[in-house]
Formats: sequence, structure tokens, C-alpha cells
Amino acid sequence: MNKEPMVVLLVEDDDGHAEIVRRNFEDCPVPSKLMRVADGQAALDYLYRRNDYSDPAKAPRPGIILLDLRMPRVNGLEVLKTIKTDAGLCVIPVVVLTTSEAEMDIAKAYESHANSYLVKPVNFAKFTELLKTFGYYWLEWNQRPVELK
Amino acid sequence: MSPERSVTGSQEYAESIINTVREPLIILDQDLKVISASRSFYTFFRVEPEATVGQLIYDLGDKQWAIPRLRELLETILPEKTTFDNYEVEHVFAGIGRRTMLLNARQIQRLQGKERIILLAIEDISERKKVEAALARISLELQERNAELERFLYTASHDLKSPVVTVRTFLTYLEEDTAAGKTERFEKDLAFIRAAADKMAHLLDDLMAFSRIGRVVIPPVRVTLQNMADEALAAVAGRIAERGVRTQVGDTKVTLRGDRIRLAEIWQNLVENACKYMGGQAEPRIEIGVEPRGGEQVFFVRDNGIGIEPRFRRKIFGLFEKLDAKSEGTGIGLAVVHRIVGLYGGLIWVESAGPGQGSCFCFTLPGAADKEQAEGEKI
Repeated sequence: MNKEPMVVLLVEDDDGHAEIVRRNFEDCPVPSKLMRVADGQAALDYLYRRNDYSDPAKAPRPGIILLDLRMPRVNGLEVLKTIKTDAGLCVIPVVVLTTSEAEMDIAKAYESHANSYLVKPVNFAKFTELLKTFGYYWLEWNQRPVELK
Repeated sequence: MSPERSVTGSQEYAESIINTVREPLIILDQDLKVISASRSFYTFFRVEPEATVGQLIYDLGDKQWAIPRLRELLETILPEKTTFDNYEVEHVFAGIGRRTMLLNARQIQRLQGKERIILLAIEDISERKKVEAALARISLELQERNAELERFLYTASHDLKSPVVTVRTFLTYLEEDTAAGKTERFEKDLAFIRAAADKMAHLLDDLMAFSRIGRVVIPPVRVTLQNMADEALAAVAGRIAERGVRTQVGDTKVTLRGDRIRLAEIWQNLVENACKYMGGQAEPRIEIGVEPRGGEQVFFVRDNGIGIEPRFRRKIFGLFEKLDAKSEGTGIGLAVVHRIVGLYGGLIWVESAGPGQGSCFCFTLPGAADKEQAEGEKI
């Protein structure tokens, strides 16, 4: 069976953190195609194929979105709300990946229908473990609706 | 003891009780005419016994007791219930001004005869009301401060944690690569570590500066808008020259009273912000001024730069909020301005017709109003 690697859209303003995620995905045995945008506005442009992302080849539809919360311009929660209230986008699982452990952020994310909430660990081994587990769970084991296949 | 003497005795007894009570007390007959009043009543309301006894209560002291609420209490509620407690009545009295009073009344059937008398006690709670209002205000202020502190802690902890994640992770990459003898990622990893450490240092500096606002109290001095504009333009002179910005300052004689350094920071940050977001404007301009709006002095710093979308108009004042991730600085400037304006009881907002249309930052500083100047103008 020749399965296309899943497109993962990483919405992350911090270059260092984006690089950490990229390295971990490269090392992950489950193949994936990582696309990164640097803030919420760019994420919406990507998903709606506007401005810099009007070429569909540059903005392949993601099978999952990894979303940071605190970002310039449009923040993660606003992106999440837009995705989950859009009939065409709401099926895409959104996993929040942030440094914030604030109860308020966790509550708001789930109220806005986040599919999962992960806190970036300060410890290297744990961060690596988290991203590996994420890869297995969301890219390998998790079943997607037909439109995301 | 003769019955007469016993009557006189009990009257004296009653009167001495009435005169001992601190609250003003008045006794009315069933036609609402004054039978007698306590000493405190005369003192408090500044009326004489001769002009009081025998009068209809509403006619007392130039009819200043003709209060509709009191009429309702005495004529409708009391006959039905024979008593009322803690009725609050606000009224402006000729001699003593606006007062809030708590009224308590009893209607008593006299043993001999059929007539009824009414005991009316009046407690002045104006001061208490004022204190309560002040307390409520302070409590609200404290709640706001607390909320601000919580937001501050949240932001600080989140934004400081982020570079820590980067530093620790890339240090481990370096250790692993060193152990494996791989050197190709060294420079890149070091650059990430350096950038994160620099960011953390900036954040800490800015946090310290931000937390100092309002903690250090400096005696207020008088400054003019010209002083503020001069300081702001001098502080960002390099940027202004580099970008060829034309500046204009209006109504420079307006004066303010406050902490000179803090006040100057408002204009400095706003002018710096205006320079930073000038975009590709070929003829960049910044105008500093003040104008009266709705009876208030509204200060403004107007530019013809990149402007701002309506949805970001509140967000930009948040701590470490940046609209452009690539722009320099941590995103503290407007948060500082917001905080200082707040310390002077003012409001700040931004007006902009949209992207490319320039921005106008407007603010009020009621707590820094120069009262002497305002009074001088009236004369």
C-alpha cells in the first residue's frame, strides 16, 4: 500500500521551537510532510489559500494542525475558533502545542473544540518523547475521516 | 405622690431620654404636628424650638421637610403598619446641604385619650455612605490591580518559559552531536541558543522596567506639552533623521502636573512606535498635539504610516504583544504607555481608517491635569 505522508501544519512563531519539531518529525519512523507558518494570520491564509498561499501546491491541505497559542497578530485561540466554526475545516484535528499551562488557556482551547492540548516540556527528553508519541498516535494509529485521507 | 406629679415626672423622664439620644428625634401628634424634639434635632438641623413645636412637620424650616418620600412614609405606610425601620431618604436641606438619612418611626397609642403619637428617629448616614462608596471604589481598584497582576504573571511566565525550552533543547542537541563527533549543526544550534538567551535578557529588562511603573513615586512637577514633545523627539532623533520624518507640535503651552520621566515615556514610546511603523511612506509625518473633546483634553500622536486594522486596536496595548513578529523589541512599548495613562486615571485608544491610512494614538490624563492653569484660564 502506497500511502502519501500526512501533511502536518505547524503554526509556530518561535523559530527555535519550529526547528525542534522539524528535527523530531524527521527522526520519527512515521513519515509526514511538515509545513510551517509563523503566526495565526499566516495559518488562516494557508488554510484559505489566500495571499502568499494562493497556489494549492504551496498549501497542501493538512491532515492535522499543531497550533501554538501565543502568537503575533492573530493568536492561536482565534485560529482555532475560525477552523472549528468552518464547515470545510472543522474536521481537521487541531492539537494545541504551547508553553502555557494556564487553566484558563486549557479551558478556552477545549471550549473552542481543540482535539488535544499539549504543553511543551522544558526538559529535552520529555519534549522528544512527547513529539514521538504524538507522531505514533496522530499519524499512525488515529483514524481520519475520508476527506482527510 | 399625686397623679399630677407622677405625670410631670414621667414627662421629664421621657424628655431626658430623648435629649440623651445622639440621633435627632422628633415627636409628632396624629396630625403630624410637632409635639417636641430632641436637643440633637435642633442642633443638627439648625432650627429653634420656638419655630418648631406646634408646626406641621412639612412646614418646618421654610418647608424644607416637605419631602415626598417622607410624606408617603408618614401618611401611607405608618398608618398601615404602625412602624417602619431603616428607610433611606436623600434630601438637600437649606442649612446643611445634601444628606442621606435613615428614618425609623413608631406610632404609639396613648393610654389616656384616643390620640396617637409618632416617634420619628433620624440617623444621618451621609458620611457612612461616602465611606462605603470610597470603599467600593477601592475594592474595585484592587480587583483591577489583581487582574492586571495575574495577566502580568501569566504573560511573564509564558514568554520567559519559551526561550528556556529552546536553550535546553539545543544544548542537548549540542551534547549529543559532540558525543557523536558530528559538527555540521553546531553553528546553527549555537545561533538558536544565543537568540533565545538574548530574547530572555530583553524580556527580563523590560519586565523589570514595567514592574517599576507606579511603584516609585516622584513628587509631581509642572511640564508643558512642548517639554514632552521635545524630550520624545530628542530620544528618537536618530530614527527621525534616518527616516526623514517631518514633525509638528501644536498647542505647546498646555501644562500637566506629574512625574516628568513617566509622562515623557508616553510620548517617547508613541513617537518611537510611529517611526517604527511608517512603512514605505514617502513623506513620513508625525504630529503631536492636544484638542478638547467632550469637555476633556485629548492628547494625540498622529502619523501617516502603515495604520492598523480595527481588530488589532485593543490587542496592541497588551504586554509583549506584537503584530509583526519580525519587528524589533519585545512588544512592551504600548503596554508601558497603557500602564502610565492608567496611573493618571486616563484612557488610551487608537484611531485608524485602516491599513495604509496612518494611525492616531489618543489619550487622556485627568490625574495629571494642571488645576492651577485651569483656574487661571477661567479668570
